[in-house]
Amino acid sequence: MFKHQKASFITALAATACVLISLVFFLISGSTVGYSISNGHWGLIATAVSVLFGAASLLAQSKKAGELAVSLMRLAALFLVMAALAVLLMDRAVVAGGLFTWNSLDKYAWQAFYTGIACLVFQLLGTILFVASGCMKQGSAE
Amino acid sequence: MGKKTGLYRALCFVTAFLFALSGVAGLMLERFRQQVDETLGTTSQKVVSTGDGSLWSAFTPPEALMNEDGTLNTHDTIQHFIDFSRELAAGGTVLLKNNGTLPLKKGLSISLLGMKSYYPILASGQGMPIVGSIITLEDALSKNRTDFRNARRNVQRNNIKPSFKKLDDYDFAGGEMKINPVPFQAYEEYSKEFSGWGRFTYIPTMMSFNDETSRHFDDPSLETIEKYAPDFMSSLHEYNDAAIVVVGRPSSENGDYAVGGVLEGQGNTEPLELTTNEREIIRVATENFDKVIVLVNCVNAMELGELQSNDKIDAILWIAHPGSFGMLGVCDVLTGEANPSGGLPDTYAARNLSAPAMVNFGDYKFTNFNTEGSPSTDVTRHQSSSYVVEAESIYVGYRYYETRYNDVVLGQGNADSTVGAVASQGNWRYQEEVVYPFGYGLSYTTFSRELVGEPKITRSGHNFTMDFTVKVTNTGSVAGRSNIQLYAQAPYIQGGVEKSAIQLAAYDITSLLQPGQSETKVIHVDMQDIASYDMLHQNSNGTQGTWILDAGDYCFTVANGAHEALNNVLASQGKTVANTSGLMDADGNASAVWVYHYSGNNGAVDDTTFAVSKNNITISNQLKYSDWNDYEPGRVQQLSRSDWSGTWPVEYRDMTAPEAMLADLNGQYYTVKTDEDTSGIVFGADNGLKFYDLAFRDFDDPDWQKLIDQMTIDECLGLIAYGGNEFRDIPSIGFIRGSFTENSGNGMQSEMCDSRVDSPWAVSKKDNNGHFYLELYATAPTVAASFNPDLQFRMGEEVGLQALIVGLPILWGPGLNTHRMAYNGRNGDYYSEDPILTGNTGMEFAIGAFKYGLLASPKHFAFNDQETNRGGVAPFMSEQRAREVELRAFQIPIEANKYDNAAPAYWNGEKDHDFGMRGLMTSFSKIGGIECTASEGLMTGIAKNEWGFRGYAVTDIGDDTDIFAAVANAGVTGYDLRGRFSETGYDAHTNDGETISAEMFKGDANILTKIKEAAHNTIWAFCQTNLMNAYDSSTAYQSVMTWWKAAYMTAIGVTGVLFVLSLILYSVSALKSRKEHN
Repeated sequence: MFKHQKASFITALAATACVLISLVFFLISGSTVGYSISNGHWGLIATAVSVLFGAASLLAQSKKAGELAVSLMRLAALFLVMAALAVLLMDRAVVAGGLFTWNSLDKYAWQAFYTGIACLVFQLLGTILFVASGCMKQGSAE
Repeated sequence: MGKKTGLYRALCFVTAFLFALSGVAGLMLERFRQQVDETLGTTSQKVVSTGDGSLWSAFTPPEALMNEDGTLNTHDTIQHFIDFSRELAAGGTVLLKNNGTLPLKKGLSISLLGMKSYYPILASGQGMPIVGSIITLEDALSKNRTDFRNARRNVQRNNIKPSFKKLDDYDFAGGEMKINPVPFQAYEEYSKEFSGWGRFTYIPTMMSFNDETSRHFDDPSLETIEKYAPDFMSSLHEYNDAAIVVVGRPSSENGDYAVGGVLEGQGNTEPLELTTNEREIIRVATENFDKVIVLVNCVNAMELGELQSNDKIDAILWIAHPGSFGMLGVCDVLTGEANPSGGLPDTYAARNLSAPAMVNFGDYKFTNFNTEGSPSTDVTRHQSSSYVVEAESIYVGYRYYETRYNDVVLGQGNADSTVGAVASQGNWRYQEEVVYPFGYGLSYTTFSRELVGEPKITRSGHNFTMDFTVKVTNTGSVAGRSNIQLYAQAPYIQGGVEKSAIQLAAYDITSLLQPGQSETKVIHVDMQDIASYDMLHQNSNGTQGTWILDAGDYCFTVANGAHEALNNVLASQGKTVANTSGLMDADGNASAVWVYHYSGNNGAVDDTTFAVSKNNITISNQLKYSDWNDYEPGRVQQLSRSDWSGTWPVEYRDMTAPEAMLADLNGQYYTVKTDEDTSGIVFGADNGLKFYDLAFRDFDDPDWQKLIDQMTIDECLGLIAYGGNEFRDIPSIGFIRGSFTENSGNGMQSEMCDSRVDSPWAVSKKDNNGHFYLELYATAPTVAASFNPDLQFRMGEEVGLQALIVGLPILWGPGLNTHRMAYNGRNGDYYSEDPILTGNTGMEFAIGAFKYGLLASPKHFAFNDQETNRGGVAPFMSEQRAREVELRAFQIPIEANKYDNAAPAYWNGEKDHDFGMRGLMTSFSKIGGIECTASEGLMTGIAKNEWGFRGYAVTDIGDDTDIFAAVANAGVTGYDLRGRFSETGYDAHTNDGETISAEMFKGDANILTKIKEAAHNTIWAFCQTNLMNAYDSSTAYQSVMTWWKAAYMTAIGVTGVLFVLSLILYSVSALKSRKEHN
């Protein structure tokens, strides 16, 4: 499946992988004792569906499906991961605010914060890679 | 596939990304709208009322500060704030030593030495950095200056750029001194050596002196000073009339001083001891100046013995953290414009480690804390990992030092031993252990203070008070005010209830007395404040624990501090220095003591007078889980004056929570019922009332029931769940959502133009004075140290006025926790080690604030005795200690007995109005094994029932959401779920992820009743405040279009349109290409 694939395929693959990693960090951050993420279930769902859309677009591209369909799936994945980013950011910004003021000694909060940062990084990376993939030629390398 | 397809595809993805990004940005901006407004100086939402008549009339600023058109005269208002700040700092400054050097004449050429002479710790609420205009010591002492220095941006609020600069219009009379500029050059250059140094700031973490930031505590060495200013030493000779050396330490939330927390090479062993560099600069001063004055710029008791005993130091002035303009007041004291009249709010020990509280302070974890463990054997709740055993009983601060001294003199209780002696060479000696006693303070003049005749004794039911007449005479040569501290000694029975040998009973202050002038004041003592809590007393109704007055001699005296008072009492008992072989350190004045021979209940203990509270509730133990021994009998030994040596505290480290404690620590306080018949509990009624219809109505007015019946379960739960920083809409009663609280104690954390309401006196952002920052007053210890009820009352008025200006009705402050020991980092937010001083200061503040409709909700209720592990620490103590030393500080302002028969001058309402405090913020900590917020004993048994507390009681930030039902059951009325406000649904959830909802409690009659009570309390509290200024049927929350709103909306719109367009183009192009390809 991966042989002779265009750069857009590889980039989208990397993007999907980043989103999948962000899902892991989202779960870890949200599982920190006392620091669950508000509306975290929606963020998880959005990320998971984003991964699914990303994977589906890869499959479709490898099967030489229509370019439009592939792109639409990747667009959906992009929007969903941004939605998950919004959910994460809105909650972790509050945690960060507390960490740099009244709550600086709470190790659980720092844990939630750092894993949240990691999640955010992969979410952004995934998003940017989806955009990059969209700017590249699609179809197989042959 | 055409090139165009590729281009359109790329555009599509890019615009999609930008569209999504704009959406996220918009969400974030709206989510943090308040903070964005604060940063950018905008107003995106405002409460607007268009009605007339009764609006803006309930509480108004003073006429003297208003323009004729009803707007605020911002210039006069700022002048007013500066003047009060100055007066407060002067009133709370304490003269500790003076050989006649002070006051200084104006116009001298002087040198200011010490890093803090250039970078003073002016402090602000919660130890946070100063923001806004300030006056430094140099400013205040020098010739009249007109350019206030703005504080640097700080990390907490680095988006507030003080822009207020028009201070040349203000009255700023200084000391007219010529200040040596050379040391400042050195300090300025030195400060660049390390990052993060803010000029007028505090250091945020003090857990260890080893932190890089903690170098900021210290002074530069002489070598460093001379490196930056080679002419430093020669400059001292040019500005040689006097040297003022400033030493100090910061105070902060969320951090304590650490035992042994010192940097290697700094020359001290404890953080509150002077460092080598500080000693060096003092030595330079004493070797080069005839007049040396040391200013102590701290609120955590520094170890000042070496300053006291240094004969070359001519004067010592304790200036605490005086606030943004407080150095003007310090200057007034230095120059004699103000005669110091303050007294220390804490005992200043030679070595702070001598306090018995220090034996158990810091980080203690349960050995069986394991979040993955079994609840039957382990502490699994993450908030319950830590504890501290407060084994010093009631012997906190002077209660320890003076009582032990008393027992050494009397030769009882094995007091005269080496046990607990830290500074003493041999056996424990007060003279060696204590440098400056509680209440101590000198003046530029002298006073005689005497009790005149016998007090008027009033006994009626459960009231027992004494009114003492005190005559104060200025026996010196300059005018001055004298604080009047009246102390009492209750009879101690060996082996009986623990008692302090002396305690503050009441205080006041004279007016300005000219030399030779006398004034007579009546000092009111409530014997309830002298009573002891006997937690072992068997009550006649079968319960245990009550307030008692032992039969015997009660001694009353007025004195300059607790130690002089005790010496007076000892003198009245025939003790002298001579006949105690020097165990007594000074002869007291027996004639200054009045002895009351109390027969109790026919010679036996009086267990009836205060066995019923002022609210008519029979007293009994309410905190049966506060003592470790409640769970594990005999495990902990409390300090007892019956045997100081044998009961001296041991450190309780590595304790294992016993099985009996696990359910409490693991939060198993309440089981929600699901099948009770709740049909009789009314929700959603249509009674046609709006909450503002009940403005200023009595709590027991029957219309409250009708109003609260209108609320739905969701609305009641929402009011509790979002009862902190932001409140939600309550449509059934016409309550509009908003942000109604401020979190501070020494001023509003706002600029003057940050008005939340559209009042006639709201200050425009275009006003040149609008960006004046309001949080400017001295911190709590200064207010307490004034021993001036009028000043304390006016402090409340000032903060209340600020709240009225910016339209805020609730203040989470002041702090009423006790200074358990000097190392508590947050001592700057709390008044004193003494609960009578704390409680009365807090009461005056709360009543004063209410003049402008500000509801003070003091914090933290209760037992926030250390910052270490404050988020859930379990402090264990006896109920006697809990009630006498800590809770009394809250009881006094909640009961506010002083104002029962004598309403404040501003009051023209109902005669029998209850002036008790109507707000509380609970503590993060537990009491024993139970969360304070979930403690029915504390919240309902004591606060509500015994003391009659009614009103708004909010948790600290985000506390205990996973025991929502237990907290509601206990009687807390609101959660501060900071930042979890949501327009749709609660989004309040427990740590286990359950969402709080009406469904959860539909089958629990108790909780449904409690949430209605909570709603009643909270809405009633709001209806007493300045919120009522702004409310009628037209009141609505109005969204205001700001430039940032417009920006993100435009971005969303533009990128959205571009995305849709590019998607259409791409789709068409791609389909066309595919068709062509096929």
